[in-house]
Amino acid sequence: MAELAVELSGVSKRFGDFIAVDHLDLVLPRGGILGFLGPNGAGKTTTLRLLLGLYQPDEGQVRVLGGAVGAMRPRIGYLPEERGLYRRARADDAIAYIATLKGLSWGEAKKRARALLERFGLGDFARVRVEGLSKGMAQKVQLLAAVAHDPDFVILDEPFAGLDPVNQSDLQSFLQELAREGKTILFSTHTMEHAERLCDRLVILVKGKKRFEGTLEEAQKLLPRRAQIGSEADLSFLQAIAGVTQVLPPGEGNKRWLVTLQEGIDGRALLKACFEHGVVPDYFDVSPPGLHDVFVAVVEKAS
Amino acid sequence: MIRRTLLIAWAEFIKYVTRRGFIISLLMMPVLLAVSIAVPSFTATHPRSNVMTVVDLAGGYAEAIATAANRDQARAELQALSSYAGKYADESKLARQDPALSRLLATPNRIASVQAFTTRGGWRAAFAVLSPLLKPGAPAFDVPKPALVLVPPPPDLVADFASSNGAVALAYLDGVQSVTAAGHSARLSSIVFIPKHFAPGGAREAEYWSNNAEQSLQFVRWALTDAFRLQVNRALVAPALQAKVTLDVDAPLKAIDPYKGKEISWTDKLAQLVPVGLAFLLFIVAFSDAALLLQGVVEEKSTRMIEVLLSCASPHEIMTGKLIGVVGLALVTIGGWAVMCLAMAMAVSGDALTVIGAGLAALLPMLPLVLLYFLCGLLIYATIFLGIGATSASLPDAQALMGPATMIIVLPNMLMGAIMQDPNGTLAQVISWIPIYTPFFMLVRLPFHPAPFELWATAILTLLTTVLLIRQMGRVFARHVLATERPPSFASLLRQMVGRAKTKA
Repeated sequence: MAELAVELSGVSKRFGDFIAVDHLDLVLPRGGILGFLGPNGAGKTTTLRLLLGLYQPDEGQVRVLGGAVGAMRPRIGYLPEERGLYRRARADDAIAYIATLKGLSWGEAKKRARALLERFGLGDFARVRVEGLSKGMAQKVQLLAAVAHDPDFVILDEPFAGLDPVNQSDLQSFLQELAREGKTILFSTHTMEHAERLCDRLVILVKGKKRFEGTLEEAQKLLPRRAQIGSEADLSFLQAIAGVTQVLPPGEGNKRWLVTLQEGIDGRALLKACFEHGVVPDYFDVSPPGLHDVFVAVVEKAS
Repeated sequence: MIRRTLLIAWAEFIKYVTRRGFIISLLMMPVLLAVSIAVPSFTATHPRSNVMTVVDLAGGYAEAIATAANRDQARAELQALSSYAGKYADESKLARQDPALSRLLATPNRIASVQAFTTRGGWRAAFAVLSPLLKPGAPAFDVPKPALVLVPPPPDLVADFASSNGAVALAYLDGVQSVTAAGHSARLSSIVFIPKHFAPGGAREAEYWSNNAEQSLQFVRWALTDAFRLQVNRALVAPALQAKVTLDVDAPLKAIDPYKGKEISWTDKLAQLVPVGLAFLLFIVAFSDAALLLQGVVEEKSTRMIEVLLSCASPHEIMTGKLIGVVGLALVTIGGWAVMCLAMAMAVSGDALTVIGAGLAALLPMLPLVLLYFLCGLLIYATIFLGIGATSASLPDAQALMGPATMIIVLPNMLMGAIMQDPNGTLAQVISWIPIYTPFFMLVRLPFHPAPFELWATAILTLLTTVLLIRQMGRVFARHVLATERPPSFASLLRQMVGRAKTKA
């Protein structure tokens, strides 16, 4: 069994003069949840379509699950950004149809569709037409259609778009469950919270180029750590501590002191210095940078 | 690959066949067909009588018009009685009992028969002979209503025309004044005015006054022309022989099918009509069923369903599946219409099965070519619609492209009359070689024996066009079905269809 889920080497895709994907090299291991991040027009959807074989690359090579995309189609599941279902199809038929196209017999596909709908609380809606389902239900049905044939690799394009928080949470649990079953899940999103909570590995694309690939921890290391300290006293003395690169007083949009730390420095020295100067902070936080900040910084740098 | 194609075909078929619109159109067509047959048939058998009077200041022409009207009515009665006897009378008994009447009923269109029928006392006398020979349960004979009721001209109208006024004529035509026709008070619908000195070669013109279009104008023209001819011919012979001069003769002439060497029968005429009917059906299913493909693809693009399909199957498999699905839909549509029409026809007439059987039997020798032209034609139109759908980002875009495409596709309908007039003429031969029209026109021309070379060459052309169009449109489909930008220009579309496929990496 191949160890890699995705192998892109020197892949480019152009639409006229517009370069959607620019010499992209990407190697993603099998298993776990992989997040595909990037601003609008970064080339996320185009890359997903290349992985699905919907587009042929102008340059480079695409391999999925260790083989050519065409040959691996039955082992890939796909959820597009919007409702990729026939409105008038009944929920179980809609799921079974995609599963049969992926190779299951109609009987087996229908059985699995019913079982999945039961498992995810939609058993009573099996014979309801898609147009009669709520957006959350339809999204679930669509996701079940993407996985009913038991694929090894599931590609999801903006799966959380348009879902309310409850449905987002359900979907999150579902994806984690699929990952626990050993499937590789690759999803694109704009929402950093989902990526932060779900992804074992992240890829950030900007203007068709890969700007980051790694774990969340590795992403967080792209930005210096910052301590936020709440105090009405003057904390400029923190500048003298080894490893502190910048001390910013509270200002517009920032109610607290911001202290930038070098890599490897934790916040204990800051607290100690405060106490030594007789300052008792009413707020102290040295969390690693959020993915949102990392993302913005990467995109700004790339731009 | 075939499995996926057939799965897509089945899904397409089910998707469309279960739509309410499909069921409605399936039910509507036989109803519309029945109405379109029943209404003209009813108006033909129940004409609104034209109440006419003739103000004949020249003399002799009113009688000529009356004679022509009586003859027309006698012909209509004889034809109706002939048809009635054919259905409900024991004709062999009639031939033994009254051979003369039997001969009249066998040739109801001949003038001699009409004259003999009138001389024998018209339909009443003939029906008296037929009555004992009628089959049990035969309905009553429905005497055709006269299309023209002639009434004597009212004196005030004659005086009015004599003084060249016309005001009284208008009062009669407007219904302010009435006449008595067939025992009832009625409004005049037309007045024929024959002026003094109206004669062959003269300058005076007869006048046809009517507020009811020109319902009987042609009839009056022919009646007066016959009167002129009779006058001219009689003037050429001695007075003693003048009474013998007549125009009431006709030459027997029958149409022969040169390929069979015998008279063209009603089954031959039916065989000519069946492919024409199929050609029209081709249009109807192209616009009712194949056009659904366009809407379906645009919808799939807008919901991104097309991406899901493309992640399961190749564009070629999807396109072929869709085409097979729509062909199945069209065949079910036609089959459904055929069954419903047959049921309706059988309910109306016991002869329906015989007529339809004869039509199908006549179609059998042409069946392979009929199927080829019909299926290829359907595929050609469906492929065009599919291509339009694939290149359109939205329904308004698709509708903008549909306009010119529809105009191109419906062109054959406009030329249908000319082609039927001369099915093997230059126009028919030339237009049959335009690939997208070949199936339609060859279906129409098939019963009229086009040259064997033309037949087989156009069959091959149709087949090649279909295969090439599907292949080339497959490229357009693959290239545009995921695109959401504006549709390509016509020139760019042609370049993509004609150009070589890009080598896939």
